Amino acid sequence: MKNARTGRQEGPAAAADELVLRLYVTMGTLASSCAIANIRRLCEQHLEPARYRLEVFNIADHIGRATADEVIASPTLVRVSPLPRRRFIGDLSNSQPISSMLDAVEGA
Amino acid sequence: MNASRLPDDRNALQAQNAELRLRLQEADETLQAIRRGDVDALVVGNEVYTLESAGDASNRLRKDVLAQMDDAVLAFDLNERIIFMNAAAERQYGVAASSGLGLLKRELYREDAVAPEGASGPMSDGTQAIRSFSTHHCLSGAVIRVETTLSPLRDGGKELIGSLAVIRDVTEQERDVAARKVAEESLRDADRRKDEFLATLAHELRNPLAPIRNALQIMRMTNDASAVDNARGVIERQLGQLVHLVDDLLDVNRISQGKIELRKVDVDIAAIVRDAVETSRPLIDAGRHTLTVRLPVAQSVIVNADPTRLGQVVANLLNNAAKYTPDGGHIEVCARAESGQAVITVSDDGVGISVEMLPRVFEMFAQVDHTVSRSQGGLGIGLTLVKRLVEMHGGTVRAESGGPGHGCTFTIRVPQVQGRAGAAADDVVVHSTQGLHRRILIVDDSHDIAASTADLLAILGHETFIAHDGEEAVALVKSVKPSVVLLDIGLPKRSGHEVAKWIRAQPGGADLLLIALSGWGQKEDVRKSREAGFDMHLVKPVELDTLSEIISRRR
Repeated sequence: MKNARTGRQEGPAAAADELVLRLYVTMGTLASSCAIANIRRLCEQHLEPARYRLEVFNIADHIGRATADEVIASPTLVRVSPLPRRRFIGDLSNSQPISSMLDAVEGA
Repeated sequence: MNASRLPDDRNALQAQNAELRLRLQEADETLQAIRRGDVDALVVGNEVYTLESAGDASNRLRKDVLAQMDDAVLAFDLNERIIFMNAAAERQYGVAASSGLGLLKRELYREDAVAPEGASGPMSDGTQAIRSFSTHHCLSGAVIRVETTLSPLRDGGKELIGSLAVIRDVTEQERDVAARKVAEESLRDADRRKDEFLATLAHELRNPLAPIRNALQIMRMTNDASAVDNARGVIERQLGQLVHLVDDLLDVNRISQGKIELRKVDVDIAAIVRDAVETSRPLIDAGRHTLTVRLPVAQSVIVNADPTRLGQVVANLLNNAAKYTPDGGHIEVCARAESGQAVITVSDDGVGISVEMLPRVFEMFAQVDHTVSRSQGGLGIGLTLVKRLVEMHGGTVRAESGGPGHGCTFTIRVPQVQGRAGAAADDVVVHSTQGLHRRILIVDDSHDIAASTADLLAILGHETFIAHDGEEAVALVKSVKPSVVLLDIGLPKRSGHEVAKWIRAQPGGADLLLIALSGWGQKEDVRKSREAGFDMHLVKPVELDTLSEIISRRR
């Protein structure tokens, strides 16, 4: 499905240097909704639109993918690329660790 | 070798160590988050367990309700970022939740023309839900009309965390309402016109019945031959009127149902107008109107048409002109070619048509002025018939008027048959001053001259007969008893002079108007004609106006 922010398709393997973020959520809950809003805001604040891709999955519909990403709870944000994978759990309201991670990637 | 490998191994080990520590830290954070209640669902095996609030069942129900709602539901945080959208919202704005969540409201749609319908009543917490109608320009490019109910969104602790919008797409609904309004209006209008039509129809059908009944009574009461003759005449005329009404009705109906087929042939537009003038002559004369006819030279403007139907069109327009022009008015019919089309105009200086009425004159049952039309008779379907018949010929008809009291002009355009346009000769103009109609015998050995002269005189309303030689002329004078004879001098079998002398010798022959039409105009010729008994000697070609004047002057 179309990614409204970057205009690119989700799914295909990312180029090695591209930042790919994957957010697992449970639709309709407050924590997940906040997580989505927070990560979008942080991405917009720290990154050029062309530099990243953000995928949001309803965890109940994508259990297999979540297991492969070693995600056991929602909301969880996974940095899929560049490796190594990093995981951030919760509503992402504590923006400090994510901001550092994004700045590190943007600076790289 | 060992020396060089050792640091690598150490680096690798250190990296592994760091990665493990990171994983441990992530696991620890996960545990803490779960303990704190920061997560809303857990994956265990192949199942997802949602953790939030009340029971699973009620949670699922709430989700199902939201997912299956037809109205779009959107929740926004305090920064107007979308934190929830249901399936209907995904459809309405053409954006999947995975892409749309976290977008700003203005990124999903641009809203304009908010017309608040007023607060729809206090909510339980004392704040108001606001209902409004507006237009949304969606990210997908779609433009929809929506009814929005906007209310504050609060969390479990009653703290304001954003807003909740229930948005109903009312585009179709509004379109339907508008369409229904238009349809209702036109239905009401049609209904009103139908009522008027029925009233007129009843009136028109009853009108001829009274004279017919009277006539029948007269016939029963008297044996006087002329009175019976008169009565029969009344019945025939009134019956004719009834038949005409019914024919018009049937025609409109048959055209509406596509049951009329045109029998198209290549036909001279001048001939069509001539026939139509003949048909309408009684009405024009009854109104003592002056009719002017302008025609192109015979066979110069040809159309592919059904002569009967196109003639009916012109006759209808002439009848209309005669009806809607006060007695003693002026009517003009003109045919010509113009940029590949045959153009026929019928104009009068009658009651005219108001600006509001102009676009509607061709509608069924539309009548300009009921007082006038009632007094003149008619159903108001004549122009409907005109329009449909002209359109069946691939043509157009237009009405123009300077307004009430300023007469009107109807213009018909029908495609001209190309490649047969004759020489651009001058138009033939005929003026007809009222109804002094005579029986005229035209004698000429040239068939063309005889026929065309007869045609033109027929337009003026005269009854015409044709002979091509002297003997034929004598026979016709005996049988049809003309009051005017146009006589060529150089005729086969018996000369014009001989015929003239013979006519003057007959009983009553002295009263005839005898006109010599000759190629010769010397004094000697004129003298000979006078001696033979002619009232007048004209040299060919004769101006029709002249001829017409001479004929009508004669009492």
